[in-house]
Amino acid sequence: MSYLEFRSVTKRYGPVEVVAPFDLEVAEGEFVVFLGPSGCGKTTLMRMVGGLEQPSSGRILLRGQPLGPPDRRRGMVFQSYSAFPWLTVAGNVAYGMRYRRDLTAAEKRARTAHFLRLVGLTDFAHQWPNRISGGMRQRVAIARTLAAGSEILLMDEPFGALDALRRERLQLELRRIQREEGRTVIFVTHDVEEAAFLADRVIVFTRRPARILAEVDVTARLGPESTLELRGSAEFFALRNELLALVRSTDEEEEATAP
Amino acid sequence: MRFWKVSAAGLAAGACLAGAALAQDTTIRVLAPTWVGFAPALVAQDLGCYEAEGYALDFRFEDDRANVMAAMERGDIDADMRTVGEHQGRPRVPETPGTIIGTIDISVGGDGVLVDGSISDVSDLAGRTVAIEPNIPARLLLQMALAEAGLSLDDVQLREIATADTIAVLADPSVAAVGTYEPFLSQAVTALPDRNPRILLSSRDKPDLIVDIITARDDELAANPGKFRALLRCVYRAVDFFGQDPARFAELAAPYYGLTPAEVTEIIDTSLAYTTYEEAVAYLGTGGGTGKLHDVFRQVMQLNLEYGAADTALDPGQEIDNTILTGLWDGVER
Amino acid sequence: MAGSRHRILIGTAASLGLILLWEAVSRSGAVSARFLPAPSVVVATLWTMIAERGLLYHAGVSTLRVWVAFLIAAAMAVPIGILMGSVRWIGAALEPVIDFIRYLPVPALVPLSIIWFGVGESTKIFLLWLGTFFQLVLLVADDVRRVPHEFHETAMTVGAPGWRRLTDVSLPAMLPTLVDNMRITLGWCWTYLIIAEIVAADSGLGFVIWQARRFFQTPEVMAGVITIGIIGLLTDQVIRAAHRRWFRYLVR
Repeated sequence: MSYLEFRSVTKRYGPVEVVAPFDLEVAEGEFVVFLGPSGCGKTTLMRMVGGLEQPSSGRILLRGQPLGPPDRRRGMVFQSYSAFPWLTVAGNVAYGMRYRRDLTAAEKRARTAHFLRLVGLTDFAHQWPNRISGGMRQRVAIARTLAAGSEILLMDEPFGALDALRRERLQLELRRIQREEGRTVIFVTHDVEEAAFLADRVIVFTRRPARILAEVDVTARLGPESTLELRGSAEFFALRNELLALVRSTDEEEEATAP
Repeated sequence: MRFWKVSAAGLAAGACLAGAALAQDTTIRVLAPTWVGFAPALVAQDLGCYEAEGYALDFRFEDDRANVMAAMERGDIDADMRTVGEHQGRPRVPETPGTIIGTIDISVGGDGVLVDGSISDVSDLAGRTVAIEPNIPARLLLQMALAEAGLSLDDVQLREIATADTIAVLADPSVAAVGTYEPFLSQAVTALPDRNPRILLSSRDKPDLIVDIITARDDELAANPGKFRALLRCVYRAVDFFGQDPARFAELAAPYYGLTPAEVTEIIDTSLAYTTYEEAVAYLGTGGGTGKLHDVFRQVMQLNLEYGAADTALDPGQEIDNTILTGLWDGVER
Repeated sequence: MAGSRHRILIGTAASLGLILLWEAVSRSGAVSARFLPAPSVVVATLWTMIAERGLLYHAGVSTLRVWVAFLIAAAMAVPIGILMGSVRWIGAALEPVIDFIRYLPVPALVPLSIIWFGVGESTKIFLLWLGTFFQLVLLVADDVRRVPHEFHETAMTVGAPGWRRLTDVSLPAMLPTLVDNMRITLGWCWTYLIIAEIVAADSGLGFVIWQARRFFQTPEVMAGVITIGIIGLLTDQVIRAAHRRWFRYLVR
């Protein structure tokens, strides 16, 4: 039995088919990247894991159990509005535990401090989110989902609005945190390089309706470590170009079918 | 006290209404337009008259007749004061609450029609623009004057205005005449020298046509006639007081209207005459008989029906009730 | 900080310029003083009215009425607006009704409100409420709808039950715009004062202004109007200052 399983999942909005029958298995602790052109339906699939959308048919199983409505086991990190502006950085992290009754106030405080340290925001604990950089805000959101105790992090182009340098630093950090905390991540992006760098496995999607175009096992090709040195390697470039070619083919397909 | 009332209304409007209901038997609740002609009812309060009669006065200003009718329909007030002409206006039918029980003042120069210098006679108004608020006494004056000249309101171009805008309206050269009342009447004459305005028609020339009456709510009149006897006694005592000491009367009346005593005196001198008890009796008659007011009522009724301000011919015999006035001073000192 | 001082300076200078222009126009006789008395005359009148005619008392009565009506309207509009904005069928049911009533001319409803509420305070409060509630409730509903869906989904995925999303997310997220909208509708509430206070009038600035108008005392009318303007300006500034204090986190 695999950890997370999509079984013939489809999604239609009225007459529009967004997701064609989709099957996928994700292992616990795996970092899976959904790569594809924007609007292809990959975000919809990820949101279904979060319980924010319902499949039109098919099932998604977590440890063999069908998924219910949203709960804290599946945490979301959005591209924008990722932190509440009326709470401090520490308040946002602590918010992840607000509805947990299994922790005492002292435990919550300790966990808040721990996850702030993990994402390197201890010095900014009492700042307002509007006064820190966009990259810091994304770290706040990551720390919040970790503090909530999410097993699966669902990340919807979380670094899409950041400049290249910040992006790279956060990617490194995310990879480190994910390894340290041993959480499963489903990460949606249309950035080929980001996918190649972060993923254990990349799922390349076609245009709408979402279908798997290719599956690329990154760990097998590049090894388990994501480092800056790796980014300059020939293997990395080869993989990147391969993914780029796949994504391009979906785009050409679109242009070819366009009237 | 008022602050308390305001907050009470906000927090518990229901409780406030209940409180008002308790005091209702000994409070004379009056709603009347902002007009110095009704000052005797207020001055009587300063003279301690209501208190001596065992009542309290709750007098508020309300210029809009529709609001007064609504309040009377609801039983929120006991008495109203306005002109006979307005009393008859739509939508009054014989069953509408409100019976005339006395008079308080008559207009003597207080109402009139202003014209620009080019108009010398009522007949010159034919085809010209006349601005007037539909149901003010000046309309009756105009209507009567036109009738005497063989014309009617249909022969002029009527424009509806708010009377408070009199002077601004008359400044417009396309307007030949404005029906209005004091203080606009005399102020317009001096304010607009280039238009050379003058008063063509004045209530001074028709002293009986515009009579301010006191109206009682029928249910209350039947249930609590003592209340209205107290109101009339106090009004006529205040009128007597005006006769003895007009200066002091003006001093007492001024604060209610936000005027100086001199301004009050000026308005009284130029505009009106208070009616004494004897004059009221002459208007209403006594002991179920009739008086001058019955004829005025019929005459005004005719004008109102003609203009369309009223749609039901009312019978003065039914609308006027002189029983409160009859023997008003029996057993009490005037 | 220097910027805000600059703003105050410009605002004061512009107001002063306007007053000087007004004074000059009245003195030149271009407009009859009967319609536009000079500001110096108005200020002198204002002073006499405070000293002799209890203008401050009337201002107090009016302020109290406006605030009572406004607070009742706000206490109703906030929960109803939140429901309309967050529960789709409630919004669909109420919006057309409220839109309809919102456009009714309040003065035309005065006799009806007397039939319902009599000639006491209740009618005045009701008329002020009428002019405020229906405007505010729609603004509140829009404020709720404008809360980013990401905030709700974040709350859902940390396990917030439905009603806690309302108190922990919708409310704090909309609060800054809510306070702004309340500040604006409070101003509208004042504009209904004349309508409310000339009904069975015995007190308040609306009554004072209307009575002065009845006797064509333009300086008194102006003084009353200016009193309302000053109260409005002060209230607005106080709420703006409070807004800056409460919502410091909005400053980038």
